[in-house]
Amino acid sequence: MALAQASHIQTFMNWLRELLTGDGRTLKIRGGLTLPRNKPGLPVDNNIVSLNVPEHIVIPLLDYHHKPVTPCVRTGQSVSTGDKLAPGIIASTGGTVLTIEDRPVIHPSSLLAPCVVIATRSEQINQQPVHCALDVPSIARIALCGVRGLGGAGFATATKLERSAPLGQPIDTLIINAVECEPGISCDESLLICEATSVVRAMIVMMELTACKRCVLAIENDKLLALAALKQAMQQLSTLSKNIDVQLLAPIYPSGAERPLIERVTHIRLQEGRRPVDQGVVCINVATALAASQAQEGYPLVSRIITVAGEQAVNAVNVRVLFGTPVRNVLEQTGNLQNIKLSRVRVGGPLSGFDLNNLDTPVTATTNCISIEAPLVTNSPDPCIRCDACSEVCPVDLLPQQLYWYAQQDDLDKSTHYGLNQCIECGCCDVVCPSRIPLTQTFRYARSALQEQTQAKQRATDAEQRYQLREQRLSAKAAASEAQRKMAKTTLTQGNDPIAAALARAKQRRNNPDSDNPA
Amino acid sequence: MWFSLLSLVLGTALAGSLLAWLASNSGPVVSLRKIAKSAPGNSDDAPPPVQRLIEVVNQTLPQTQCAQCGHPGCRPYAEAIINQNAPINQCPPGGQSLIDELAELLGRESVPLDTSRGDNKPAQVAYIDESLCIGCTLCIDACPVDAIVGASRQMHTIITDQCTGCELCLPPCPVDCISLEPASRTLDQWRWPKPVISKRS
Amino acid sequence: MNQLALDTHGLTQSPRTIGAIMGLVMLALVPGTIAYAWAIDSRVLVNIILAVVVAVCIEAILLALRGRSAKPAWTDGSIALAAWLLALCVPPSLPLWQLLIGVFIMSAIGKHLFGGLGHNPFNPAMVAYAVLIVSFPVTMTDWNYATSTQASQSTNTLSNSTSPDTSHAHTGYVSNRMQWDGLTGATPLDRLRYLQSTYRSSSQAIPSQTPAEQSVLSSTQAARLIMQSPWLWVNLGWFIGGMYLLFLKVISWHIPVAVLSTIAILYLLTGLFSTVPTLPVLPALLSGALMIGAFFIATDPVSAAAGKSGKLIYGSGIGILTFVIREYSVYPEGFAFAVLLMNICVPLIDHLTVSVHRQRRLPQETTATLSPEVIRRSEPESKTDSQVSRRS
Repeated sequence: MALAQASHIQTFMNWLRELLTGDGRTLKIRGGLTLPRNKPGLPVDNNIVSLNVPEHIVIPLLDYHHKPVTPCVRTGQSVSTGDKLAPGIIASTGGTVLTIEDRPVIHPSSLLAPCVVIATRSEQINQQPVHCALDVPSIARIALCGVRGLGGAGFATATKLERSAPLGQPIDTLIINAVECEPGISCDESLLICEATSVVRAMIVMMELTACKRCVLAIENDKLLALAALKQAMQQLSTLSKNIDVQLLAPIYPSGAERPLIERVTHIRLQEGRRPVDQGVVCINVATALAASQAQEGYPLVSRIITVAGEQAVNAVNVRVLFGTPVRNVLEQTGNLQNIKLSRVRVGGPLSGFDLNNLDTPVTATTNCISIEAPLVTNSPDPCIRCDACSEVCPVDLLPQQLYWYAQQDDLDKSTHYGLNQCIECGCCDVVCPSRIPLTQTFRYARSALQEQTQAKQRATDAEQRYQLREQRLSAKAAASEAQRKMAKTTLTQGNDPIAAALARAKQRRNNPDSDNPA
Repeated sequence: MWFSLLSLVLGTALAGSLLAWLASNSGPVVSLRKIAKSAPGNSDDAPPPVQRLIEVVNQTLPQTQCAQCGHPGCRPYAEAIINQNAPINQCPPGGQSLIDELAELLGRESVPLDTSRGDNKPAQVAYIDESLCIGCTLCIDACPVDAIVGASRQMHTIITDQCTGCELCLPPCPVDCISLEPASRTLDQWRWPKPVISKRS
Repeated sequence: MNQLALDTHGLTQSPRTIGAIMGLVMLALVPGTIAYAWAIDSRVLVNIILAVVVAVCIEAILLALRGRSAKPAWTDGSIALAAWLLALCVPPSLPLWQLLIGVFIMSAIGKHLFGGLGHNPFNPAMVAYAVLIVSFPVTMTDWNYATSTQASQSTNTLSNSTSPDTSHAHTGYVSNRMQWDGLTGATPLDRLRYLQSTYRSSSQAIPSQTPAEQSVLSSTQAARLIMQSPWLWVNLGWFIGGMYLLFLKVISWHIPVAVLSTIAILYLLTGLFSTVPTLPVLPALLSGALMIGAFFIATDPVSAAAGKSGKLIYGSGIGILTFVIREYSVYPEGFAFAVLLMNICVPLIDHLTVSVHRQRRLPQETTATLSPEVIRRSEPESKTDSQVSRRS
């Protein structure tokens, strides 16, 4: 009942706030959860604490799809901040490459992946621009500075922008996403409060880069401090920022998810299997936009703001962490390491994240939150009573209960028909399910099974192609040798018989042996 | 009386047309109908139906090219299934799921796997013990998908991404340096485990 | 590192468990039940308590027989709610052994034969009701209870109009038993059915009277039949309970609104066009089993359709069928049969609504690209081709 009450009170408060401040239209996404924002375990202030650089940092050599990439550095090599370690991966600090080996990475599995371990230099801390700046904003520089999506997916920003104008699809709307991914996270909020002017500048740069018609900053209406800071910054830069709208959203989880947000803000119905950019919309996280604009001045993306929070957190804070810092180090420096064995550490938020198996895994661009939660209480679920509570909260308009039915039977065709590919794994359905069914994990399972099926299909097609090419090659080879044999036979029958000729020569030699041996 | 009859007829017609409208708008029906129209089989330059059927069966087969079925490869087996009515239970890598799929596709009876051809094993990949390899190139000739690289008197190695685990490279190796290991999962192939649910009421 | 078996969110689970939902529904049944016991017959309370206790016991035994934990029988509350509803639907005078047979059928056939909670395609209480009315037509239509004071105060023609929602009496049977002596009960709908049949014969006998005059007169009379019956209070009780459930969002508005609005529209239309006097809209909604049915029976989530449009179709289907059974069949009320018939349609409705739902999201190109699965599915035609060509 606490949940329902909180939502009623909060809805009323939001309505009142809207009435009093006259903020204009507040959009509300479909479904979703209104979660209490002032629950224990959230950061109390909006300061960003900078952490010390650890002795060793670990950079995983993985691309967006978690595929290993080949490193271009050697053991013992000295690197400086922003140096390329592998395609798309840069060093987050200077130092010496200690080793390149398999290490645990931030992933729901406990699998190892190749990582570069760098022993950091103690003297250098000051961040320097590493690539010379040019006059024009350029996407190439974003790639050079290793900018990846800081919202949670970690997609390479340069790749995203390449698909949009001026090179690719013309862009109508650029959405700067300042809506938090999860109710427990406040990293974007603190960023807005601390660096509002830079954020507004970054938005102007992004507008130039994408050549879009309008730019919308999406933010929840209850972030009053961030809104005030933003207003001030936009007034300062009023001549440049006149094409920027601020769109308020009701504080409902998951308003920050890309697809629901785009649909709500632009009123475009995004189609399955197509990227938003195909329909003229680009959505970029506010921190990513800032990083992309800083890349224009030559600053590589080497750190991000992480919210350390959760019910069991001793000290909930927003910290700026260098990529490659082990999670254990982050928890130690923020004073959260005590009694960590008794709680569970989740990465990526309490709802859409996953439990971390190993605290020695390094922080990456996608690590937006480290939450310390109470240990899991396993209650075996009750059967589904088709109450539809899940479809009411589903932000992408699916029928989770029907989908679950097919997903847990491994019926992937039917699951796809019921929109499995559209599931954003937000976890709303899990929270409201009266039977405590692990819906989201089942969907994650089915989605990865689907992915595996596609991969297997691709492998089979490749194998068949290679088999056919080999058959062609072998038959061509056989045909060639056959032709050669035939040709030899023809020469034989045409009278120029080399054997007969050799016999004749031998005969001749026998008849007059002196001619061959003049000595 | 006439009123009751009329309203019943009208109500039925209304409900029927509503359902018909819903059905005509429904996804799979429409897409299938459109595909039937746009399918290559309906245009003039399309391959003949038997060829298309072989193609479909071939796509269902696992493409291991292991020749365990007695045919030199997956496509020859597909041709044999269609043209010579070969039994559909000869493919150990495909296992029972493949037999069921083929049975449904071809309207034949599903039969258990013919284990004299081999057992269904989980996905595997070949590895060459490079310290033992003498560089004889015999395995390179044997590999049906060209997944082994190397040259005469040079060490050979296997491109694991392209190895189908067909075991055809094992017999020719004179020093027995090739072994098959279960395919390890890398991060990009990892999948979420199915949630474990203990049954209750 | 151990492989994780379950990865659940780090938030507090919504406290609304199955048990809590069923408890809220039972709470919402209280006002109507009190009105029933006060205005109609207090024996219903005995029936409810007995049915609930026995149902929980049977459920526990069946769960144990199926090798499951017996605990959900009393923790999830679903069988108790179903037993409560069944006890409300049968006449209070039903012999207890018949009621207990109904309870057993509800749990065994209605629920566990299909796989227990969450798997039953039919509403278990309605299954039991249907079996009872077919097996024991006499006792199931005998609404013979202690006549209350309101009944004796009524006018002569309305004196016996105190009775239940869900009587499915055979018309001929009821009219034969119409003794007008104040001892034998009949529902207001039974009375209406009787009046309509007498009206039909009388209007044929006196053709001079204009149908319109008769219709207005009789409609008012019919309305008075409903509005002056003590059943009105019971139905208002269900309505209050339903509003409570809607307010708490235990049920969504779609099914009750669809059922009631369909009925209202159909009665409005018949009121305009029919030559036989029928009920005006408001009394029609407050008559019979409509209130308890629309808010408590049709909204049973397990056997109802899913999704908003699915629920609307399901609800209006129940509305249409209820109206048809009421007006044109031998039964004066047909909510139970309407629910059971629509339960059969639920898989179809779900399939169609999902298809419509998904269609909007599919990109235009999807139909053009040929995935292997799709080719495979569209293949049978070419298979027959090949068979033909091989034969020839």
